[in-house]
Amino acid sequence: MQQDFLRPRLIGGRFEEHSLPLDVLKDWAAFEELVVEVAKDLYLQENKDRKRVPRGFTDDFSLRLTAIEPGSTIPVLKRYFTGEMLPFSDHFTRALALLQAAIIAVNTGHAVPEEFPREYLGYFNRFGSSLREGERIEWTLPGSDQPAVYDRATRKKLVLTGAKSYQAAADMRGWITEVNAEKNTYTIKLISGPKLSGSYPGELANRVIEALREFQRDKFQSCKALVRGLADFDLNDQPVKVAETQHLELLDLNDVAVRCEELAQLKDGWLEGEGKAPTKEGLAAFIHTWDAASTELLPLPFIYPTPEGGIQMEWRQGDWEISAEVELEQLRAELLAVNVTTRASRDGEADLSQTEGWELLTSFVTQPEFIA
Amino acid sequence: MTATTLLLRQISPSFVQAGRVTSQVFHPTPKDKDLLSAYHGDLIGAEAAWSHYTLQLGLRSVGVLAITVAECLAEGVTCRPDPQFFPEHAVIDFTGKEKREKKEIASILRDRAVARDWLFEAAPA
Repeated sequence: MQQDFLRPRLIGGRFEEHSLPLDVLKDWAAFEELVVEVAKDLYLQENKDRKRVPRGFTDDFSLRLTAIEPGSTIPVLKRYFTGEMLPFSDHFTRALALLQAAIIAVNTGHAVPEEFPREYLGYFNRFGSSLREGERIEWTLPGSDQPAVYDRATRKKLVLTGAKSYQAAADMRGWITEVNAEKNTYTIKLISGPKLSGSYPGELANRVIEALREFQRDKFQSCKALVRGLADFDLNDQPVKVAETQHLELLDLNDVAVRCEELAQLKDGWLEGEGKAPTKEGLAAFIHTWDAASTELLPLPFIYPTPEGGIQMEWRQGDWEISAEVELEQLRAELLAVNVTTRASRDGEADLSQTEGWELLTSFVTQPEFIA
Repeated sequence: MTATTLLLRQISPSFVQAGRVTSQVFHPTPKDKDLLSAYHGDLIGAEAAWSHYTLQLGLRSVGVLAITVAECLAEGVTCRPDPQFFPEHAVIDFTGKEKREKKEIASILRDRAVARDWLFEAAPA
């Protein structure tokens, strides 16, 4: 038999397109395991004379994704069980209620309910590990007037109730500085400074070794790698270890996100005691608009900080030296192209918060000689 | 100081990306008040200038690029010794230039310096 178990709403980010990214499915596999473990614990708490649950206890619980409904994205989770109907007091339904109570508790500044088994808090590392910033899961059980809202912050609080670190999806950029090919382990030195150890699956061996070679070869250490996967974070949200390496690639020398991450490390006074550091918020806004703009025709820029706290993009096209000085708060750019042979020059302004601004910049960079 | 005198500029690490130097290296900062500092190449060599800058002044530099006095004059900026801070100190004078003009000059001076290549490069940290 089957019956509805849960129709959670997946909200924000990728879920606004009314679809379910495949990497989210593993979250629900972890959710199922969590419900089973909590249900077992509930049974054992009520039957102290027993050391284990009865044979076939979990046969009555199997979750299946049967449909995806709109309304952000709503996966329909149905429960399959043996027999015609469920017992009145079902441990799995109560486990779900307890899970909801734990989520609501940490979101409202309360302790996780005492009956929630502490040893299973680590399961929250897996349930929701694919959630990105701005994404959340919500549900309200029948008879409850408060929804369970589960996002990255909730997940972190639940895991840290029972541990000193938590896991989250992370993009880590830096240099592969050490590889142990025998143990399939490596060290990545992040742009922000810390060194993290991690292990890699066999199919990534060539890429890991290539990244190490680039680190040794390039005296400017400008060739960096991106590691995408799960990282362990400490109580201060600092990454301490690569928990799972899912993807590794060498990045372009002029990768914009990498360069902005480097510039985000600058402190005020970076230029001989003067020099205002660009703000992290300003750099994030710039990357966001860069990613959103159609920049396929625009060559990747070299990017430098300016003493005023902005950034300057630069390109070389033939004899033309081209620059765009960007003020990060308003994303306004002053453009200048100088022919270093003829000394001809062109200038202009572009509002990079608008599509037209990027189009203007692209023409300016790719065809400076034709700018009026 | 003659037309062929080299004016040595120290390069801040933040002004280099993947080995490429920004034109800002040859643009005065607000603190410069339009007088861009350099080492007088007739009085000190590139490596010695770098050592003075990093070890004695305690500032950061990844190496030394240079332009000549003639290259500066060609862009309408004058140069002169300015030993008030230390004997080998010199300045490239941007006084009276408009903002756009200064940027144009900086772009051209950068081009000339890069064509000459590094006179000294520090070992990677």
